Amino acid sequence: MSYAYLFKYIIIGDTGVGKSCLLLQFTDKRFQQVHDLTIGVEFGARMITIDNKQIKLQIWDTAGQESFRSITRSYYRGAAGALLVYDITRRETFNHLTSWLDDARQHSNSNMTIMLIGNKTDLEHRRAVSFEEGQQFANEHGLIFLETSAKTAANVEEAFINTARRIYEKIQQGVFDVSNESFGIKVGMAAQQTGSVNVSIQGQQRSSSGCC
Amino acid sequence: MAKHSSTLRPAMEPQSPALSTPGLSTAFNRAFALNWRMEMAADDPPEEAKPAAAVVAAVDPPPVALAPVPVPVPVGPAEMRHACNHWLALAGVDEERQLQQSLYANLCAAPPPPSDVISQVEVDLTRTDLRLYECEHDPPEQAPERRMALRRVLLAFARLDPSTGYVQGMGDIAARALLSSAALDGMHARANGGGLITERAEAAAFWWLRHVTQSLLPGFFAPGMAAVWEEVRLLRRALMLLQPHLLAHLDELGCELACVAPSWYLTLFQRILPRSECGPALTSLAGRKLATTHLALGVLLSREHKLLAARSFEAVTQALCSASGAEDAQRRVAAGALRAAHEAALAIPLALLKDLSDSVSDA
Repeated sequence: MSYAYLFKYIIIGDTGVGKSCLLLQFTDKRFQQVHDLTIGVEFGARMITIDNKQIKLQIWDTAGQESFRSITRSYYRGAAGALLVYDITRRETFNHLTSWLDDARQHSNSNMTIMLIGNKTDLEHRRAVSFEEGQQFANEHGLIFLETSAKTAANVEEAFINTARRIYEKIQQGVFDVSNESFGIKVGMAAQQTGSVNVSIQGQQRSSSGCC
Repeated sequence: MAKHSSTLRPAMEPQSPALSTPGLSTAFNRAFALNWRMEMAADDPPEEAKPAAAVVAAVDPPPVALAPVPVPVPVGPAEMRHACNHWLALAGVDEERQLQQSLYANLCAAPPPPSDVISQVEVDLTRTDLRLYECEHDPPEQAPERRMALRRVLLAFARLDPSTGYVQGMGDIAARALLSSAALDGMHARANGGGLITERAEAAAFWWLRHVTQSLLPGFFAPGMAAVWEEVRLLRRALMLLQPHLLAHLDELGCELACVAPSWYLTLFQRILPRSECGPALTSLAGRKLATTHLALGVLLSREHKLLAARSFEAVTQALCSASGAEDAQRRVAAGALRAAHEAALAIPLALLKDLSDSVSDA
């Protein structure tokens, strides 16, 4: 299916915070209580619509264990967006955010859009990190912030789509040289047909109506 | 490419002393062929180097003739019964276990590893590929018992090598050995009217994990995982030599081997190979250096048609990220495809791979 733009995303964060479950909820609209360990990296893709333009998200879901950090670092290259995930019920996953952010900043292009995600809001009774703390961290580091639940699907669409929206805005503002693929953006056939984008395209991959 | 080829050429000269030993891969070939025979239960003639020669012929300079390998044909049900963990025997796991019988027990009784290691192992036990727990001789109600055994194996290993500790992927590797060994024990036990014997199977899984981390994948799990990158670079160079058009195709679609191959090694191919291929593939790894490179090439070559037909990043990564990637367009497992491709990969002389490996290390 043709797209106007393709954005490469990378999902990062400690092991067990729900990275693969977020991806599965976003691409397949389902939740799997026990997800196989991610070794190395796994991939997902979905088409969304922003500003009547079809945008394909190519998502790299990485292993979170510390031992895999050196491998994960090589996957930042050419990513337009990153979802940095922590688990609101495990404070240590929040404490490690700075280290993840250092990695992300150091190994990606400087214009990569980063969305901070506090996952597992369905476990409110076990919450160990408040919403305000998450919001404050995001403000201090210039990140977008959302709390999500991969289990109930709360805010999962928004997490992926708001990130894409921000990247799209940067394109409109001329922040990126979109012909340079190192920014994690590819221009598709549809982008070259200005004003004639077919917004009704529906293929096998689900298409969002652009909810935000 | 040109540079690499020129540096490699001397190693490919037929007169090269390094290649004048046609038996360089004899043991490996024999082990490999032996197990394929068991798997296929076929009565084909002894293994030939025909597919291998065909592939090498495509490479300039001329191919190195590999001597046909005499294949011992197993006969009788006893051999077939042992086939399921033949690879453990080939790896010397039984000998090690008997030789250092007390080590595993001592490690299990030793002070526990750091609490973060324990909690990580426990979390991951429930997330280790559950298909590995499905076994003909391993009823589902025994899964908790298997998990406890796997927990003990992983924690014992973390005590043995605290600098490496526990790394995700080890669970897949140890679980396979545990189940294969336990299945055999279970068969024997039932024949004698007894219950499952797990201590022996557990110790075998521990020794297998040690063998894998020390001999088959040395340094792969060490902090920094530098050995993984070295191996991936070697794989890339070998593929460039063997099937440059396939490598170019993958590159064009943005699928670098570095995206897909690390997980092959760190799970010892447990997730990428169809289950029916795992036993023979593990057997092929026994007692030989660079065997994992050959097997990784086998994975790539066995999916060559599917990969070349793929027109998107998603399609190629799907074909290279799971066992189902081995299926062809008609959703039929390409029977024998890995076998043939692996044989082709085996035709790359060990000396040549070593040469590639050295140049990767020097880089």
